[in-house]
Amino acid sequence: MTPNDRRRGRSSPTSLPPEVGEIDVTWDEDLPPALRGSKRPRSEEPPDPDSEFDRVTAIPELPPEVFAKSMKGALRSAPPKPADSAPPELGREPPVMAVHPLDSAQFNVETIKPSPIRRVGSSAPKIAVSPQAAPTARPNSLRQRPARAPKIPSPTGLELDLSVESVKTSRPQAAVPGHGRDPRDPTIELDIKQSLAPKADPAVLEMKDRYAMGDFTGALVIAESIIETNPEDLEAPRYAQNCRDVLIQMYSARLGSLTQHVHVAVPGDQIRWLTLDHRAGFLLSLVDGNSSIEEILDISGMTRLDALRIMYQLLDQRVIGLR
Amino acid sequence: MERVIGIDLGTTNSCVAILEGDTSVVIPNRGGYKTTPSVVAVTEAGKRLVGHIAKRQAITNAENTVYAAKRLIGRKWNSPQVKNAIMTSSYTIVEGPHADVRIKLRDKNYSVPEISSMVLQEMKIVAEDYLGEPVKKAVVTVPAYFNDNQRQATKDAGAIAGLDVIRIINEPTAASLAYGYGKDLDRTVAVYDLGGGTFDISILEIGSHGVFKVISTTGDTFLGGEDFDARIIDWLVSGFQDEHGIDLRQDRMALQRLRDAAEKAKCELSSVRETEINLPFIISTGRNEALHLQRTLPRQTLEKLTSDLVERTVDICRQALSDAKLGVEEVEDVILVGGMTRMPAVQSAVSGYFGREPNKSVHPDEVVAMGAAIQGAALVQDRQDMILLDVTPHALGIMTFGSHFEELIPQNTTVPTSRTKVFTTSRDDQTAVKILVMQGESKRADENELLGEFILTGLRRAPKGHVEIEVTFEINTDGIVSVHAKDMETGQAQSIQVTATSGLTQDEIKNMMTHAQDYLLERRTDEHFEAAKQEAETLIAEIERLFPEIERVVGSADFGRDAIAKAKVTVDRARNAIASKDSNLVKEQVDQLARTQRMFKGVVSRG
Repeated sequence: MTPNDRRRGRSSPTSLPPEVGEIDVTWDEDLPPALRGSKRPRSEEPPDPDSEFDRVTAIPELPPEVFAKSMKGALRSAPPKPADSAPPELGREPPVMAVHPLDSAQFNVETIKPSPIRRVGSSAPKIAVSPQAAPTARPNSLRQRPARAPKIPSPTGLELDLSVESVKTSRPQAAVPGHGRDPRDPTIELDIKQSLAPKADPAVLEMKDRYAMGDFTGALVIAESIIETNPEDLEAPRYAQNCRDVLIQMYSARLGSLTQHVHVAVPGDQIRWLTLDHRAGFLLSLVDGNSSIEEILDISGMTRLDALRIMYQLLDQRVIGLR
Repeated sequence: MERVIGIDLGTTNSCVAILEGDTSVVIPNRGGYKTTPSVVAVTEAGKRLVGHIAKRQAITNAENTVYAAKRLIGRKWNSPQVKNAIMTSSYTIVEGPHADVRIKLRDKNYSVPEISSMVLQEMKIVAEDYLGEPVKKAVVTVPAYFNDNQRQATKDAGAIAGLDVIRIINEPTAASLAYGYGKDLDRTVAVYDLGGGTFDISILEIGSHGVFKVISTTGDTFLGGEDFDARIIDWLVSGFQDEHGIDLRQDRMALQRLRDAAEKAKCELSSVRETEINLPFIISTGRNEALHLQRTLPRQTLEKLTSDLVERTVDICRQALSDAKLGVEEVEDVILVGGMTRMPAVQSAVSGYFGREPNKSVHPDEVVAMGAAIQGAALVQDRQDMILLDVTPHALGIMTFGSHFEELIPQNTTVPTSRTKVFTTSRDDQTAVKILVMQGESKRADENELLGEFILTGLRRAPKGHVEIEVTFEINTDGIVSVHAKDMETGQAQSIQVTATSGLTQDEIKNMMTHAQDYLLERRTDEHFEAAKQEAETLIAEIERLFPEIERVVGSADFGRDAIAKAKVTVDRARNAIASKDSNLVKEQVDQLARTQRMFKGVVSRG
């Protein structure tokens, strides 16, 4: 499946869950519509009236912000009724996911051992990233992106290399912290414990779904909204931290070495015609040609994730260049 | 011979210089700038930032960025300057264990000398990178009004940074030294120092044979270039508010950009008549629409906005001349120090007041560090003609009845020295006197710095004025002040020894030194690793670029396939070494990579 196939497959958003072919397990994230135009010729893009839902990672049923808002509203007003507040109806049968052993040829294999549930605030899980996953050239083309997904760290701390083989139902399996079976066994098939779902908070389920689908941004938005409405929640901070870690790793890999120096690639008089927000404008103002990515991250005053995301978007939009 | 660097540890910017041959050379930092902001910050990730990089995030990370630490160095917690700083600083100032001042950055409290040591350490690194050898000794400059505690605190900062501060000299003296270097001058000069955060004016007598005497010094510790920037920011903010109804001050990122742009515009206006301030995407509206700020600032507008600030400096000059009991016509030259003196309006105000064009033969940003470097070299070379005499920066004396200050050792007295004065009791039947040892120039004791106190008891009962007490002040070569009080009739005596203190104990200083050394080691290791990593990555990229060509040329032969396979293994090993963050391992792989690259290039060139 080529990246373009993936894009065509995803281009028509639906309230139905994604088919297996629609799940993009490559390292990519959502891009604002404004940035997409500059990525590839229009001719390659299928007509897509609902492109704002076109996510590169996976298709959420609702944009995470909308979902988060609706969840917050629902949580604030009344205890959620499962039937009302649940995401769009999903099929009953779980997807079948196969766990493959790590490919040592492409990944730096690290010792995998079942670990206890990571404590909130503990150090980020280490993700072994293939050198190919961090393109040295401009990573703005889907073709240049790695063919394989990075390892998605489950909040359990297990480093699994997940690749979806087939999906029979619409609801993907939520990553369950502490769900520890030996991931090195290539024959293991993870089965879904449906019994976990019905009693769980719909927001938590949605968060887990998005996490499992690789929609880390969406999962993070929902996790943060859960933390906001229920600071006592134990799971959401863990998921939020894991999402951040993955996203940071992902954007870092896309940018390449953080010691690279950043320069403005757009003539000064054309900058104001770009579609940027003030945060991107601020980050761009820090680019002086002498500072490295790392230095700009240090002085941005933003969270590392936000700064990396914006930096990547600027690079993808060819507003900045690296050397 | 050991090299001695001269460091101008400024309130807003610092500068380091060294004497090379007969020329004083200012050493640029890695960014190529000859001055480094005296700003220290700790990022969210706990990383220490010093200099330009710290300054560039000073507003977005205001709580964890220390600027103008010099205003706090050597001050006591209950001093008015500290109280003022608590009110005006964006960072948190807390009380230290010895009634000293500590600054909270993230979760750690730092002493002020520790913060200053980070700046000094940066300057030391700049010098070491330039010289290619370790630097141990330094001469550091301080304002002429610094008291002994502030000077000691500056010395401690140097020690923490791993520097042996062989001499502390006054900034105006250093400027005069650089100005008069190589000339046999005998004149009265004014040093007009308008820096980033402070303004100082000093009147000095430069005598032949290296005598530099500060006759008077005064200033404003809250008047400098930042105030000029603030006026530009106000102008920009109010203009934007009028146009869009948005207060840019509410957004830290916008404010940071405004500050950077204001400083840049101010500097540009010293050489051009107008400048454009262009800040695209300065803020987003509620409708997610980004707004741009674009305005032209003419020099005339800047001068209008800041005319009162310039006028304030002239008033202070007037005060300094009055203190020195000199007429303006007696000043034979005016030396300009500090970046702000490049502003044409400032120069014209100075020439207007002093009735002469200011001297422009010395670089305003660099002259103080250059003077310190000259002094450092003279000290190690034992050039007596160049060595400044160690003098008392302030007058020393005791408090007398009515809260008056009675001076025993005048300002600028060469040390070692000793002076004695006789005092009498102020009440009938007074059996004890409290001796309060003070430092300063004010006639009012409460305006001077209290150094120590002791009580002399056992005086005979007599009417007031009948008991005579002899008070002796002695300063030894190490600057330690001893005060003795003796009842001249009974011989009953008491004494106190006053040692300048930064507010840190020796143990604390040692601990801080260890931490500073660890930091330096870690930083050097990181730098070595980064250098090796970059080299390795460049070679890897080059080898990978050559792979297709190599395969085309020798891929069909067994030895060719073997060479390609070996090269791939080498590349993989190098990548693993980079991942392990072991700089020695990376360096080893760099050699292998270089060999592979040479071989590939040879094959390609032949093929």
